[in-house]
Amino acid sequence: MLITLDEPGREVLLMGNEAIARGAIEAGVAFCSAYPGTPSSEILGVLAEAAPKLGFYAEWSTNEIVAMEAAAAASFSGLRALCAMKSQGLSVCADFLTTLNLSGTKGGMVIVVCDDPAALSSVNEIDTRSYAEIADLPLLEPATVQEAKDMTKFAFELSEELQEPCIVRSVTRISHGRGNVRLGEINKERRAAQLSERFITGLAASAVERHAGLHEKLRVAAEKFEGSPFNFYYGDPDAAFLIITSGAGWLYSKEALQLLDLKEGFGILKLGTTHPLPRRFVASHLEHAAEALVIEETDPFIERKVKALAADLGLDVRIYGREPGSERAFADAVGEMSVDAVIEALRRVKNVEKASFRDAEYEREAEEALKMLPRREIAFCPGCPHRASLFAIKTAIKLDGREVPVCGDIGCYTLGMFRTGFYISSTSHCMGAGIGLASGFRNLEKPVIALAGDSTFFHACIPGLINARYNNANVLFILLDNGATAMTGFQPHPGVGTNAMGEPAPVVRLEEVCKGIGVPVRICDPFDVDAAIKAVYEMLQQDGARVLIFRHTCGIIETRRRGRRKAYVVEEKCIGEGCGCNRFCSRVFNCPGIVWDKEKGKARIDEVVCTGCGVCAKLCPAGAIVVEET
Amino acid sequence: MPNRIVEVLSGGLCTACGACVNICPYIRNIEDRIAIIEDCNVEEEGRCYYYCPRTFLDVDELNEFVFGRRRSEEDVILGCHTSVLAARAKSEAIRKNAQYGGVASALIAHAIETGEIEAAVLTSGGEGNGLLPMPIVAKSKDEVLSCAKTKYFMGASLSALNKALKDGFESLGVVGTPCQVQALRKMQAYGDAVESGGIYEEIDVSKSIKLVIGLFCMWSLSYDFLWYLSKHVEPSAVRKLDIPVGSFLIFGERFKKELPLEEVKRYVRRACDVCYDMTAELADISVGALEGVPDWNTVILRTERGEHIFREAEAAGVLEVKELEAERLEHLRWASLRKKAKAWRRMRELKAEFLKISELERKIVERFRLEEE
Repeated sequence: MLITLDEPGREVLLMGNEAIARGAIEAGVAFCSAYPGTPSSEILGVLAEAAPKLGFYAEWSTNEIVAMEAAAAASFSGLRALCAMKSQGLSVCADFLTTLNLSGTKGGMVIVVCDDPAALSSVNEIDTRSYAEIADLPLLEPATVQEAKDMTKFAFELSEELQEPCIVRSVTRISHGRGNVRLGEINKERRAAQLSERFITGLAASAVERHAGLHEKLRVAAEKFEGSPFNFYYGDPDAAFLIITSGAGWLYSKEALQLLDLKEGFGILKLGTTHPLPRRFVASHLEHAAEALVIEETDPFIERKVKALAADLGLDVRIYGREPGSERAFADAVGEMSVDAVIEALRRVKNVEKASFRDAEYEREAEEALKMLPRREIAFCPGCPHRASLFAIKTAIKLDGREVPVCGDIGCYTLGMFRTGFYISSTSHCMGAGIGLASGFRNLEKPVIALAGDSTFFHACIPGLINARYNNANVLFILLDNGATAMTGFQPHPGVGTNAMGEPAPVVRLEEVCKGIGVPVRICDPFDVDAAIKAVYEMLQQDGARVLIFRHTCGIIETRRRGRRKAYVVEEKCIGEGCGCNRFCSRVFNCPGIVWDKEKGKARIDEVVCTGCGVCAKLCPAGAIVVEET
Repeated sequence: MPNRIVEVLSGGLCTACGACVNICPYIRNIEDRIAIIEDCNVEEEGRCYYYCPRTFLDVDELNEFVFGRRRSEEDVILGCHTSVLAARAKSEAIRKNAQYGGVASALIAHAIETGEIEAAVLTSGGEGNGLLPMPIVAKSKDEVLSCAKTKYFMGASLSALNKALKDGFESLGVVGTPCQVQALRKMQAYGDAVESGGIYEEIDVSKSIKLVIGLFCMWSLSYDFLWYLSKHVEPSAVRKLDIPVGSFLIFGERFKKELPLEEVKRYVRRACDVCYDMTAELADISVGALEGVPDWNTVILRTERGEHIFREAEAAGVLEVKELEAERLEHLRWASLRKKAKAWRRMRELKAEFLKISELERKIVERFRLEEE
């Protein structure tokens, strides 16, 4: 694997997340932990693969706060430690993060957070940079894949110097982008773990004292950042118009200026160390500018700091950004940036001509290209057990007759809010919110269903279930156990029997945890559709907190294990659009493995995607779908 | 989805006969609940509408279909029939296990053994205590006998008939409540009203059902009754329920308990309030209690087919038959007419307009109602 290559100076093509992992390896990381979450998952994925080879430790932790605590312990014992997570993960860690800063750390500790502007694979587009301000910790923002590696390595050194964790904040386009990376030397030093100090936060005066000490450390960091190579200036040295940017915005800004051929009078101030801000360096460029445009994702984080700096110094510079309500906002602070967005911003604030490269020909070709993309709605995979589970739940609720609310949660089954999940979810928030919300709906005076996947259960649902049991909430908690953290790429979790490094691990069984809490548990295979409907219906008639485990392996894993089974439609039996079916399989059950053959007026199996799971065969009212036994 | 079947469900008129279950993926059933899971998006009225006994019930049209004639004044109260008699199974074993005289069990078992039918759609006591109905397709005498005794709950048994037809059975018997017999006759009469191709090209409902035995029925209980019952006895210990005049009896292995009938009646399914048919008037043969004589049945023979099968079973020594005393017949007629009058009044209160009867029939029922009041 590329990230373990011991060839300093060689250039290799790496994904941003691989580059972050390589940075940690070059820094001599000894302990890595993470909970999977797009777009961060590959970091620990590749580190865990490299760990046995290079002799360090890597684990998938039960959730992000546990991952951070575990990494901090490694740091306390003098080792270099990294923990990685997606944006929402840092919110999970917030409580620990804002005490870890007070106790400080020992071995270099790097917290990598991958934000997801535009929420491409998340339920929100939270900008986690504010946590660096909340926790008074230094923050680095890589703008290229090379920087992703270099900054990670530097972050370990800075952390060790400050004795504080250091945050590296990536975004989807950096983490999942690819670029050439010049490799550095791998640090092969192996330290002995030793706990020789206390790491405590104190109370009252001592906590306040530590808080003051933290600010002193930030001053040291700011001083270091003044001369950092991660901050630099590009373009006309005396530019009157400045773009101030960080992260993915750097290349967008550079490309926009190139496309618009704006050279004279234009410059870009690219920042890599955005908290604390290197004030003298920024001020030195604000001084020659009359106007500045801030390009960043997603919140006006740098914008506010630069405006404050300009006000402090009494500089006469007009600063455009995305601060909601600001008279000088060129757009609202939502969504991703892009080359187009930068060009549009320049057009708005600087009246530059709309980019000439987008002529009529370009627009026409783009339109043609768009037509070539197949229209696909967001959907469960063929063979996915969740489709069957949610269908069973929906059916049982209809049979019950009461409008039973379903509290969704985070996992593939978040799609319960869409057509593919029969619009079943009444609520959908963060990891573990489903069971918590469900236990609070008592005034509805009817049962409430909460959903959670197996990995989500371990991550965030146990206190919620205990609350439901303790406070006697009328909750049917349905665990969709597909034996995987499927949505993020099949990372192992405490229920599957292996760890991150592929070694056998003890199995924590969902049913045993639930029984330990004292709630009744029933287990059912959702592919046995009739039994599944009956199970949900019967459990809806019960009271108190109870758990139903729908257990069926993720369709992708199952297909990898046993191969595809061939399924086909017996056309003579298929009712098609007639009374008695009307395209139930392709229209309502809506598995992508079944398509409607308009010409024949019959259903057809799309053999390319069908896994042969056979659920549609059980639901077909005509028995027209046959799955061949293998 | 056309609206009439939705109205039946939302209006509390659904009898849970099961005729609309297993004919499409949109209507599903559990216990005595029928629900529409999704809109089928079919524009015209479909099988569910034509099969359901509560969307429309044209009594004369169905009489013409079953008996080849409209109802005369004579037929209004007990339905078209050739004879009314008392009978019981000769086999003591069958009777011992039966609700009353075991006639329905004996007839069906005999019809299977002689090859008149290949199987029968019946209602077994299901898992556990035998109280809860579970539709089955019985292919042997043992399976038939396992379905003996009255179930006081509805079990959507015709869902099993729909499945059996799709599975390719071509010669079936059915034992059902009056509403189920109505639905069954609608299935036969209007089965070809909806053309949809596919598997339905191979199914001929009108020819595949060879014997229809109807059971007398006053009403059935909702599943909430189980909750009430469990306050008095352990439901799993119950072996038999019965309603002799004015009381509700529960029999266990070693106990007999009586519950006040008025309390039990609170759990009667509301859909039964508009039921106009006590004696399963569209069956080939109707079977019910002979009040006060626990091991005999009242039997009404209606069709030629019914006469033939019954007499053949009698000749084969399967049944023991005797005349029904005139006063018992009079009581039966009174009970049947009373049910019709009550139902007629309730239909008016609810503005339920599914039932179509002749002017003559309406007058008879109205006159009785006025006399009673």
